[in-house]
Amino acid sequence: MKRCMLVMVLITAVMGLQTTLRAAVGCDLNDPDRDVARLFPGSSGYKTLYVSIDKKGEGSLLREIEKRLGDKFQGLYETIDVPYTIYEIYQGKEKIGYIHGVNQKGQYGGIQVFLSLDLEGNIRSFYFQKLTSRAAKELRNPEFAKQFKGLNLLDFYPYDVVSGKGKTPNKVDAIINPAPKADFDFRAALRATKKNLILMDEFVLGNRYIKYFKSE
Amino acid sequence: MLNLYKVSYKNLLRKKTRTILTIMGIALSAWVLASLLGFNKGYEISLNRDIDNMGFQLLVTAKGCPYEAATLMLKGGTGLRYMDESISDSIMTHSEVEKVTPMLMQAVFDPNKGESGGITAYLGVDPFTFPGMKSFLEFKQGGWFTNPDAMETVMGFEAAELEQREVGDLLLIAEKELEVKVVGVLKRTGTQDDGTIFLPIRTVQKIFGRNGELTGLGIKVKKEANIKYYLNY
Repeated sequence: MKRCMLVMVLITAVMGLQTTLRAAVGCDLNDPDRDVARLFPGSSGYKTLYVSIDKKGEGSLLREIEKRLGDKFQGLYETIDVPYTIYEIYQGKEKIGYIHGVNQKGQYGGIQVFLSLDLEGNIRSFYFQKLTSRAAKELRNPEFAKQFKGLNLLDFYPYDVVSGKGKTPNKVDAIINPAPKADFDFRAALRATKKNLILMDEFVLGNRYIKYFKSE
Repeated sequence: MLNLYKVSYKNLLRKKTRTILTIMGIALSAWVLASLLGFNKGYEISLNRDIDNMGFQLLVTAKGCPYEAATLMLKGGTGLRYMDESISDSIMTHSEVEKVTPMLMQAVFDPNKGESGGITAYLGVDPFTFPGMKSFLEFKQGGWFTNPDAMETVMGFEAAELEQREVGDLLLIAEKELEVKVVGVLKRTGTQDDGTIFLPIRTVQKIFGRNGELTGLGIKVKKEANIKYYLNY
């Protein structure tokens, strides 16, 4: 009987391992040592956290996140089991910020949007790690990324990711699309940013912005 | 009157322990024999299936040509060497050859892949012979190309995941600024096919100006063929 149990445990463990190995793809920095130093000059180290919606709160958390995003998670790859990699940045022993990236479907390929945030969840920098777009050059222009600096989830709440317009006047409406011909990818970048901020609020910022969402 | 069967039967009952041990011995031997034969048969079936799933056992390339995407990446997407596609007909004349499938790999530099750009490889395959050779490939969505020179792509699971592509989406071929339509997404295989972007070979030849050229020719030989002969060919 004991042997039987042991065999069952082993089979379960192997099946569990297979499930882990076959899980959805996350979004990691290509070269964390280099990228952290570039995004947080003066930092001395970082810790990596791995979180996913299904492990933290399952379906109810997914629905909550979708509600805050104003859109459903879509397609084959935006799923509940996507592992998110969060980099906690340190200066000595003091935590000074975070870096987090998300995948987003663009018109012609995948887009990876990374944000570096301060401890209050304000955007320090916006960064396309990967971008397949006919307007890649314009969207990768540092002037475009600068428009995100200082924004936080409070600014993104009024932005409707489905219509691509703000429900009420907001700072996101002021972000200029550098390539009107690539409106799909521009809106994809904004959706990815909003999703990124919501996930960070949920995973590491203790939902400090949720009260603003509920009060709307 | 005692006959042979009665004598045997009585003898079996006379030494019960011996009889039981003998029966057990025979049963054990029969079980081992059946197991070994079953294992042998299963192993043979599995080996044949694995060989069939390889698609092709031999890959012909021009000398020095990187023959898989990983090697091509390591060489920075350069160093491809080409063969004339007529080699396909020439190799088919050998009696040991069952099937061949021509391939053309091409790589482009994508400046928007990562911080300082990266290489993306495309594998042109023959829609008539390649799917048959790789019959173990299963689709998560869609299917193979609709025609031999269609501007279409079939993506390995990880390639599609990275590019967030599904059937019906467009994929931009970097450097060439051309769009191809995703018609199929393969299920994960655990092989390098997972990271491959497949296009019809004629399309790759046309896009990259390599008409009539190949970088590889997959050969499936007949089961009874002597592969060693080919290795030294």
